[in-house]
Amino acid sequence: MTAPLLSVQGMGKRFGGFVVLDDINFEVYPGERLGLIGPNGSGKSTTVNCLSGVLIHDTGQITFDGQRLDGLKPHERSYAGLARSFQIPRPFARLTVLKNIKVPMMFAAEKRSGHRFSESELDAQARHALDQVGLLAKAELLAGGLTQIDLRKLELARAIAAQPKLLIADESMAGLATSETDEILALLLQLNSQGIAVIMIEHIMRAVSAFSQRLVVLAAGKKIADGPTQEVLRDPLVERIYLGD
Amino acid sequence: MSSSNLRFYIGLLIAGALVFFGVQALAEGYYLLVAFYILQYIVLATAWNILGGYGGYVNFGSACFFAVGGYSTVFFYKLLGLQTLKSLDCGWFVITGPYLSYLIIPASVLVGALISGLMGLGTGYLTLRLRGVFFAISTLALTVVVQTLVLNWSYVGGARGAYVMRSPSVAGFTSTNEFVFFVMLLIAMAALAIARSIERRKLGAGLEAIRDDEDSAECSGVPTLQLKLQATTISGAMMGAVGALFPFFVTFVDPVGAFNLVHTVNSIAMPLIGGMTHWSGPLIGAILLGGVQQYFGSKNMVTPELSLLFVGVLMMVFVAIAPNGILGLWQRLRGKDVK
Repeated sequence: MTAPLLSVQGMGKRFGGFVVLDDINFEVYPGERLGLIGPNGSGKSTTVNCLSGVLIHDTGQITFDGQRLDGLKPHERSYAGLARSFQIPRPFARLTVLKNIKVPMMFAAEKRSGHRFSESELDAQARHALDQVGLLAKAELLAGGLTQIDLRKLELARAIAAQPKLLIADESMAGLATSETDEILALLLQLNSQGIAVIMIEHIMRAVSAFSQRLVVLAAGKKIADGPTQEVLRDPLVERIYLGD
Repeated sequence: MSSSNLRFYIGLLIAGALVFFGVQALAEGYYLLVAFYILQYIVLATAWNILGGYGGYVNFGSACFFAVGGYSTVFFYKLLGLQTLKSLDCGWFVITGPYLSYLIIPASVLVGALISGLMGLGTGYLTLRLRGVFFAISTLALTVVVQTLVLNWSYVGGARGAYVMRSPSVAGFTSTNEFVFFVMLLIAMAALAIARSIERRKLGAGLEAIRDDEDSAECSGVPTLQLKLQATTISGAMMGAVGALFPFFVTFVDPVGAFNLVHTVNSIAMPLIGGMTHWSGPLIGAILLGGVQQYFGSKNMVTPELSLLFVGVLMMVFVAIAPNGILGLWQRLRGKDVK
């Protein structure tokens, strides 16, 4: 059997006396599409923050591509091949859209590939990444002036510009219209088809079930289900947590 | 070398030569003084902008880095007995009086830059985990701490201050002040070249990303602490270099002058007024604001305190109506967004 790309074992996080994550275990395999769901306050975003290094988990261990991530800073995790997008888009607002893409290329992708991009390579590859998400026409605009859907696309483009093995898409569709949700969904599927494993954190169940090969469900900081998407969605406990008794 | 780099360096050399020979042609000490102060502020403003403008970290400690450079000159002058040095026997050649400044002044500048650069690295390491207003306050505290230390350190003159007796003449220059001015011009040219180079390299892109969103920059692979430390070191070294040269120009240093709030306020106001996103912003701000201050100062129209008030009001005006400075206004007029 293939070794997991990401392995989370016994991960725990507390803020003072409040336990946010309690003994979380799950795996993500190379090229897999995993959905991470749960009601508000279940610990999804904290999980993402602990995986990406924005928060330091208190207990357990995270192994990515055979390397322990515990104690590594977010930029070091990006060098290992782990990229994330933010729930609320956080662009480099005063830089152009193109330069937003060049930053992860100059730092994460260069470090990962060991290849120093020339200015023309950097420009061509950044434009290619923008083209993939349909933002090429807006390359020279300031990122702070983009619309909400374009900001979501930019988040994803910036994450993929780092040439990751695993992308964590944290609620990339929140607040978008149905057609826009479909655009982002198509984009994530396209990225996955290029071999990038994706963890999708999402509330929109239509998108989650269409995208995910497997689901992990969190509730009140604990993992309550982990398995094939349709099986998990039929789980009485998951139904109860989402729909009530 | 790319054509734009070539154009920049040729332009810089021509501008430098024009300034030097222009001031020399005016043959009046006053213009040398004005040009020296403006060049000094070009360096201070450019240095401040590397961390403050590109990286978004507001440093209220410019005066401290400047003063540490100045006091490093005072300290080593005394330690090495340079006050009374008439010639230097290097074994197989002897450096005599008119040539001594060629060695002593640039060496003092390098030592001042090194010490202030190391101080930048050290304080950066201690304070750069702080963000926003907390970082700004810590740099202000640094100034107070170092000033108190200097005030109570009699070896470098304490509250009385200290004199630096420089060589009365320098070979090839009409006066020692002219040579000191020449060195300041070289430092200013180097500062502009360094700032432009940072802007065009990974360091500049990383600092800009940090300024806009530090967590997001980290997740994009930017080693934020490392880049900020590089910025504080470079910025501190630049400020220390001009500080180290200052005693040679005025021949006297005291804590009130060296740690003066004017250095801090000007080095923030000048990039703010000129524009903080481009290397030329601090240059424009320093020429305009420094020029205006020197003009009104020379006419005895304003006291230093009034000048400071004027700078404060001007800063508020720019923050309110032109947050991207003169460069931003210019780009807006041309229908372009600020980078």
